[in-house]
Amino acid sequence: MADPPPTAQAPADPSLFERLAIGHIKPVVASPVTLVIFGGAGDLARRKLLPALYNLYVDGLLPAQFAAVGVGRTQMSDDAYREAAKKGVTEFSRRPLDERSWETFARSLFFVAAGLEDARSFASLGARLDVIEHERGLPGNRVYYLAVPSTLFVPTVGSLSAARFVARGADRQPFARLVVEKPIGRDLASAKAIDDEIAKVFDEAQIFRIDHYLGKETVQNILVLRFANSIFEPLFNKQYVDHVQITVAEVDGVGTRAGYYEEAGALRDMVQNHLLQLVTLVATEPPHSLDADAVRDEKLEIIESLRPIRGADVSRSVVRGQYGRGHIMGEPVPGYLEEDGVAPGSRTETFVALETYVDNWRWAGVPFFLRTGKRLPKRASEIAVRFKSVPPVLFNADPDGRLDSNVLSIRVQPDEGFALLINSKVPGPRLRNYPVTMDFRYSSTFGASTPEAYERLLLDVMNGDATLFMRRDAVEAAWRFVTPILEAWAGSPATPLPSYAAGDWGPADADRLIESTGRQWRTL
Amino acid sequence: MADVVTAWRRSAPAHIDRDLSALWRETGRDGAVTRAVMANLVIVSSLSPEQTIESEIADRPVIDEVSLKHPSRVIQLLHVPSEHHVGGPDESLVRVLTWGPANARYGVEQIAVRARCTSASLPSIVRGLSLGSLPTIVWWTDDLSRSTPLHDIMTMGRQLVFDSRRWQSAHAGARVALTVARRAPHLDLRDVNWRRLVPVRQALVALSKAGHTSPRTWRLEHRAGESVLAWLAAGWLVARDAAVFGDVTIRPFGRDSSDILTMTGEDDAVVVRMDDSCVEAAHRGSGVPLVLAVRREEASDAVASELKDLRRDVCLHDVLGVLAHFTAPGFAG
Repeated sequence: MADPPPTAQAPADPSLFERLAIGHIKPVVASPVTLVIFGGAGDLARRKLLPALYNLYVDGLLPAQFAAVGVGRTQMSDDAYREAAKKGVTEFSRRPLDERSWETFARSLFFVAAGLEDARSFASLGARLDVIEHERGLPGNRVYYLAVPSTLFVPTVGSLSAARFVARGADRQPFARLVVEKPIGRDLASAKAIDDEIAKVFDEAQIFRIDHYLGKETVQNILVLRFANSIFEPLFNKQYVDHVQITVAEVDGVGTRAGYYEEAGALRDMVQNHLLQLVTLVATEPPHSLDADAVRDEKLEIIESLRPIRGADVSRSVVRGQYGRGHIMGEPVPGYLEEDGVAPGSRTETFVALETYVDNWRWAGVPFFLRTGKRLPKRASEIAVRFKSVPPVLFNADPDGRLDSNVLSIRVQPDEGFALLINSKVPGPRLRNYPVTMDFRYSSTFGASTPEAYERLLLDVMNGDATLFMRRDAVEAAWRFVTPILEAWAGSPATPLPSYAAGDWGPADADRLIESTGRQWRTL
Repeated sequence: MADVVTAWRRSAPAHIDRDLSALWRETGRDGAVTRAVMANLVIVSSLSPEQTIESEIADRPVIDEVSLKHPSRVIQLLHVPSEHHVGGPDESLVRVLTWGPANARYGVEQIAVRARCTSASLPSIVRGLSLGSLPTIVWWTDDLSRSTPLHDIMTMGRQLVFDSRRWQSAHAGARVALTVARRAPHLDLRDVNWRRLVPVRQALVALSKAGHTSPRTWRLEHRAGESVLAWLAAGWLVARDAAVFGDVTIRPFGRDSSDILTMTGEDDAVVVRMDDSCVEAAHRGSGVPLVLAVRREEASDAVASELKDLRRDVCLHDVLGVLAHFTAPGFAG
């Protein structure tokens, strides 16, 4: 049984965030559970999952009865795994590693070597899990986390089934839940094939499809911002909104992920999941409750309302590009085609911009501009809702000096928070306007580091709350939107993609896409 | 000055925003604090290879004061020019300044980076550090007339703020400023020295509106160190077609005077005197001279006021255009 974390008590001088967290509404502590991480020695586990578990532990949110069991091909002792995990936590945790906390937390970490398609391996894994659960008083509730490439989803689930690890049904006790990471499939057909195979073993209510963007505090705050404040929601519609821009910019290049990225590209890697999920949150109708399916039903409606982009429309409404050589923060960086592991002449897109519409009553005619790319000037994700301009009279009468229109910008990362740009009179006798921002930042307002997305998502899986996870129908609807674009690209002439210098905001075609509508991309 | 100034903290250039967030969190532990930010204020200075980042930023109170008066994300870019070195910042520091009572604190953030590199590397540094949703203002603290401005950075700015009092040569300074403005058509030029001429211009316009004929020839005399002010005034007369340059003479006072600038029109028909407190303008045909107060303001007030005005100062552009194109012998300011 895990010792209680030594730092779980209220600090002497708590910040506002900490005061809230220890107030009357206690966060839910998860049920006793065994978390089995396939790919337990991999990058995702080291950088995200294990640091998230450590922070949940320090925050007192892990159950007293808990075990995390890493599963991988490499032979490794529990101690060696704990040491590797400690390095990951030291490097990637949002809070510094505390030796006392680590010592007690590390007792709940284990490692089992197993091949994912090897029945004998799964038999020994089962035996080891039984021993761990018996020793730690765990009831056999299990979360199987597939932190492996999507090509291994089906074989792993097959092995789980063959080894009789899974009791079908969300209400069964002890429970079995499955967590899968995006991307699920490469297109609609392959996504359906994977989902069909998984559905043979797990009920939909047992499956948690992670899009880690949905675990970010700012993303969760979008619904609060819209539906807990009376001043915004009445304005979120075609009458007041000129357009919406969603940007997910990465400063990194393809790095060591060329093998994956060459097969994926920006449209599959980012648009099909992260960006479309952000669209749903901005555009959704208010759900009738915060019940997982009520929220997800409304989000599905939005994806299904997206105007399809097919055939000739693809070249008009979608721009792709590939980064060339350039500078990032002064440093020269190579172009995509010069990166290790990238095929000569590769036509994998590292940038996508598109214009789409949510064809429903609320948003009819309001363009949604989406943009994502690698090797852009900075790492920044933002949703910007630009409102319509005031009439060209009074303060907006000067044709050479039009007022900036109001913008509500929701910063997903970094610098999480939101800002409202409004025009204000500069103090003094002369009439001068200045665009000012009312700025909310999590860090300076709440005075504590906000939980990482994976902390919230892992906790929700353990608690069985699927609100922040993607349902099968939504994933497939997203593929239904994206697949025609992929098909049009596949049928286009094999000419080099438009290039943009690393450190620029994408190819010139992206500017033309939005400027042809009389609008401009925001610079982040 | 700020109520609370956190010490400059070392930061890896790649982690500046992460470290700033940590600083804000620490600042927020003493009670909620609002980040005040109306603009990116980019201050570019040249450094010799021996100069350290700390020595350069140690004593710049006017920047802190401007931060208070026009809350900005201050980005001090300390550039060690190097023709061969292509790369990013080698050092960076961050800090937070806060003001106000405990229940209504606000603060600004400051970043200082030292980069030894070619000027081609600089735009990506500024792009990486500035908040794109806000106006970017470049504050040129060096003598613009002797600088090679970094045009790529200027094109990112909405305003270029400078003080022409620092110019060794009005002609050279105007040429440089105008070249920058031509390459960056959206950039507005703002000169805190030009700002000082506002009461002089108001007085002359008032005399003109009163129906007095404007002289065509002018004699301008100025205090030592104020030649550029005199040339700006001359340029303004020419730009508004009140004179031609050949009919304007400019010279320093040949006597002790409390005046900063005097402008005497044809046959003493108009006399304008500017000292530290007021501008007095008289026309021979009217009895009572016009008297306008000269704004008494700190350097930081002047800069902050210019930053608050995002309208294009068309008049200054015109004046600089006149000065830049005037090539008569002896026009050196």
